[in-house]
Amino acid sequence: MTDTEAKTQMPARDKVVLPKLGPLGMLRWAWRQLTSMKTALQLLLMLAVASVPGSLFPQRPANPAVVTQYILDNPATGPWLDRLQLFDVYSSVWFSAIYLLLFISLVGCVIPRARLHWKALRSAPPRTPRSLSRLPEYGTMTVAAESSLTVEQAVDDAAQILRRHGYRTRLHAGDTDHPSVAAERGYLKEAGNLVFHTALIGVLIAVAIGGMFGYRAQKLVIEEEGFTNAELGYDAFFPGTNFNPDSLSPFSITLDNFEVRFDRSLTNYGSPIDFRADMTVQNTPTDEPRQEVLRVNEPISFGGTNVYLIGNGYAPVVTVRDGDGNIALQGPVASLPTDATYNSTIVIKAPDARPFQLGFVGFFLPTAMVDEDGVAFGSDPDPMNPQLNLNSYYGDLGLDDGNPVSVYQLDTSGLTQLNGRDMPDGGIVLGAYQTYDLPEGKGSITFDGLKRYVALDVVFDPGKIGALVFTTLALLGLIFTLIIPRRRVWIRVGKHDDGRTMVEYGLLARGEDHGLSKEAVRIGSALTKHWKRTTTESRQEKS
Amino acid sequence: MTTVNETLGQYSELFMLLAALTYTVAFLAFALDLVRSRKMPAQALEPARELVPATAGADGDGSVQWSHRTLPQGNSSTGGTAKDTMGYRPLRRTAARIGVALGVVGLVVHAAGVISRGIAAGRMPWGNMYEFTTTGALLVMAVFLGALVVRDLRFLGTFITGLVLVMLMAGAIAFPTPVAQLIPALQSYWLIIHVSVAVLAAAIFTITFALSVLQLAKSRQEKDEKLRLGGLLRLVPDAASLEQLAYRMNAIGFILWTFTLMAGAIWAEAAWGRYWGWDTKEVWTFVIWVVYAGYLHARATRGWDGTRAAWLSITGYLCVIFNFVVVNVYFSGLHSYSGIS
Amino acid sequence: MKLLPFRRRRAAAAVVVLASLLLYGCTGTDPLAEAVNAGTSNYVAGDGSVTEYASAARGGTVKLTGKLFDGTTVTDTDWAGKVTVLNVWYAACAPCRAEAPDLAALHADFGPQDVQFYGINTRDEAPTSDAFGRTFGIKYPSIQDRDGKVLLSLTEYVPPQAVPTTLVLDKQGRVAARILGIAEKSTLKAIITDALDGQTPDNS
Repeated sequence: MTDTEAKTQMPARDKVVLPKLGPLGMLRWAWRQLTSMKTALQLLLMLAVASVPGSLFPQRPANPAVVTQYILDNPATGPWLDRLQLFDVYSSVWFSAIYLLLFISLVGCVIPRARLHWKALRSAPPRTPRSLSRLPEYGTMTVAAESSLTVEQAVDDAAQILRRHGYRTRLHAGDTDHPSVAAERGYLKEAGNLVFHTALIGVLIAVAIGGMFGYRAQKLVIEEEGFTNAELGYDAFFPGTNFNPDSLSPFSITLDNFEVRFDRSLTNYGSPIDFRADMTVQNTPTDEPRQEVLRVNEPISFGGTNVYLIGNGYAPVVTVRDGDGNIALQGPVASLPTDATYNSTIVIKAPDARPFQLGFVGFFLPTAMVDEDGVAFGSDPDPMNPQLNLNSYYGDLGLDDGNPVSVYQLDTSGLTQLNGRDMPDGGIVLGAYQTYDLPEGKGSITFDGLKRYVALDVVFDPGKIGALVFTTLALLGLIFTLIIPRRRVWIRVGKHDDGRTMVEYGLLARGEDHGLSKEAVRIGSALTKHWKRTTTESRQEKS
Repeated sequence: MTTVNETLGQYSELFMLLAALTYTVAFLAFALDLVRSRKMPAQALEPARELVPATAGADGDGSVQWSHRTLPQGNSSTGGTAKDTMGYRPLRRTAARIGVALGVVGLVVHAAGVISRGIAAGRMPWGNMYEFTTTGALLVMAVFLGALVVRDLRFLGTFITGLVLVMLMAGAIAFPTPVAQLIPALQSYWLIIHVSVAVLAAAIFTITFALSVLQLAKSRQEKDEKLRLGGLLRLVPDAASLEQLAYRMNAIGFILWTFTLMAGAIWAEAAWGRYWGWDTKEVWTFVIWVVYAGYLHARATRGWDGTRAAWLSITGYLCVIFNFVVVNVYFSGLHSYSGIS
Repeated sequence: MKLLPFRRRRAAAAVVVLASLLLYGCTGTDPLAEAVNAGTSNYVAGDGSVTEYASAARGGTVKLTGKLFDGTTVTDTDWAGKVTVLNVWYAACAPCRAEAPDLAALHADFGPQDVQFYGINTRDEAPTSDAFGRTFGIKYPSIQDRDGKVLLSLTEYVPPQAVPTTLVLDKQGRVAARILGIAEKSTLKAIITDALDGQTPDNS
């Protein structure tokens, strides 16, 4: 909390002499240590330092595969880094410890300050100090006797002018010869401070709620296909810790068409400029289907669940015939782009080919060209000369024992290679509509067509709105606490023996305040101007 | 979708070059001003005026007499006020005036460069490193010249024009990117909001960085009378004033940075379906936020104000630079839009 | 990498420079690539858990309309008054392949007792489905559900959470039991027998 008050309330505890403390005393001591400003500051700086490793090492939640690879590549340090939770920094014990301690410290600081501020809000500004001249801003005024200004009138005038400047005032009149007015303004500064810090706790809670009750799912949808928001409809499903499967809203989505436009200017040839997915969606099984357009940055919303366009690629349509001459597989197979020209890896599995299962692995190139060494490479993201480059295998694909296997990987342990680029006969090179007969009469593969697909993320985060509300509150609180100055003004009035009215005033800032001098001058001028006018008026009345 | 106007893009580059040339001369003028300041008469460097206006004394009819004083404060963070040591002084500093004038001319040409770039691309000109850098430089210069209206910060002129030059050169040499349309990921109005505020915040942090560095030098000098540093710091106000101004600007910068963080989160939610994911860029934006939050707290913590707070301000700025250059160029993450290939 | 048919140099440069522009510059962390490298399947597998519903706790009669691979339309009226087994599957799904022989055998056993079996195929086209049928000797038909419409109808009654999911409907067409993941033969057999007898399991 950026306020001098914090400093004065929480004096340096470096010189704490440890008396004999009981367990309760120890607890109280620890609590006071934790909630001290210095500790909060140190925790803040620790939080900054602790966040850094998460950007230096690959992180499991974002990229599990890279972490696995990193550990393989660094057998000496990798496991140690893993043990220190450096691959999952933001849910590590030490990172959590820092931010939880910070938040506890924050709570310990906010509660007493909120109580104090509540009291301050309900009570009048504090009494006028005896010696105003010790205040950082101090001034005196003498109003001529002919003004016939009484001390009571002067104090009233001062209070009125202060109120006009936004101060809350309290008169200390009657009990002495030197009545005074005490004034304070800028209560919103402290309120803003408290709102800011409380809202941060709110953000943390909102994030936790999202993590507990939300879910995130991924689905690859090929053109003219669709899916339903049910766990089995997804390729991957990541539920929150307290997620209830019955809470999936029953919408369905079909991808009618996916359009990509690429930049055809000379300077940025081939970089994408538009992705547009035309969807038919249905909110519930009984609702009328409707058309929606999905774009990057423009998710489709189903109540609290949003669907995002995360990626896209090509799905070549192939037909695989087996050794018996039957069709073992027909349909689009998604390939995974590896670069901006959509050169993609592809794995095709035909587990129902007989007598042997067939597998293919290789590349899909949207626009294949051949370089001077006779090696094919992709030169354009649009499919101007689509080509499949495959190696083929036969044997056991490893699918029949029920163990889940990635569709994007071919486990060659039970397979025998039929052909390939590295073999004398070379690999399979298939242009559009071409068929390749496999060696030894083991079957054939045909490249029938091409479809596009989209990779979608489906996210339900019930904490989202709360996070937005609390961050907005935090921002507003921050603006208030950093912009609004909190000031106190005291004005004391007395009567000189010769009839002149003597006025002294002092200003004190609470917290950072760079305009206190200007404020003092502003108030001084206002008072001077006011009394000059009243003097003139009283003169005119007399004459 | 509009098409790219390549001719205008070339004009934009010409404007940038002209701006850089103008800034170069401004830089030289400010440098000359610093050198000359070593021989300026001492009274020229005294605080110019008292805040209390002439009306404070007895005036015409003498019906009300008023006198005011401000208690001199050793340390500004105790909640008091310091003397206004950054007001303009009566002494004419011709070289500095030339520097400012050229800075304004440069700013206009520079703005023409940035705007024509935007028109050429048919969008806001902050979609890649080149554009971040040139727009950022423009804002640094604009914030500096804007601040000159209320404060005499001309002692920062060499540093600011020098830095803006470095930024323009870095943009042209290290991150040159031809005018292009935005990739779909950047096609969002949040680009305008999020990036512009981030760049503005960074521009403000740039100036507070300079103030904090000078504050450290100045407080060294204040402790050790013999340390003269070639008299180059004569124009620079006392450490307390520097700290105060740095604090005020950092406070505004922090608000803007908080907004950057928020707007970024909202955009991330719209684009990727999560508002926070500890992507490299997000991590560093968060680190910067925490460091400046630490700075603001430090100012209210005994033993942490003054020099230590200045070091935090400097650390924060180094993180900003790291986040901008190293993270954009060398770290791959969701925010890799540098356009460098 | 040794299979790269296009120039390695190009590929390497592309990987370094455009790592983040993977799949078109939307995102750097490509969910698909992740799924690949992490060695995960691309479907949500079940743990074989069985949920049986007591007669009183069963929902409404399942209503759905779908198209079989041969083009015939099938609706819930086709199985009215009969015990029905619905099995969600597709050919490349390993657990589906593992349980297929048992399903074929149970169909052979119960088919004559007027128990209806239907597959609900979420991913394949007809020839692929036929090839699967040939492999495992599946004699019952499958509904083609590549757009998820049939699943959408099913979510009204019971959330199908994994591939495979097997549902047993009682004679009133209500969901009597759900098996997530591989259906164990004896378990499924017991459930079908109970449904035929009109018995209600005591656990619900």
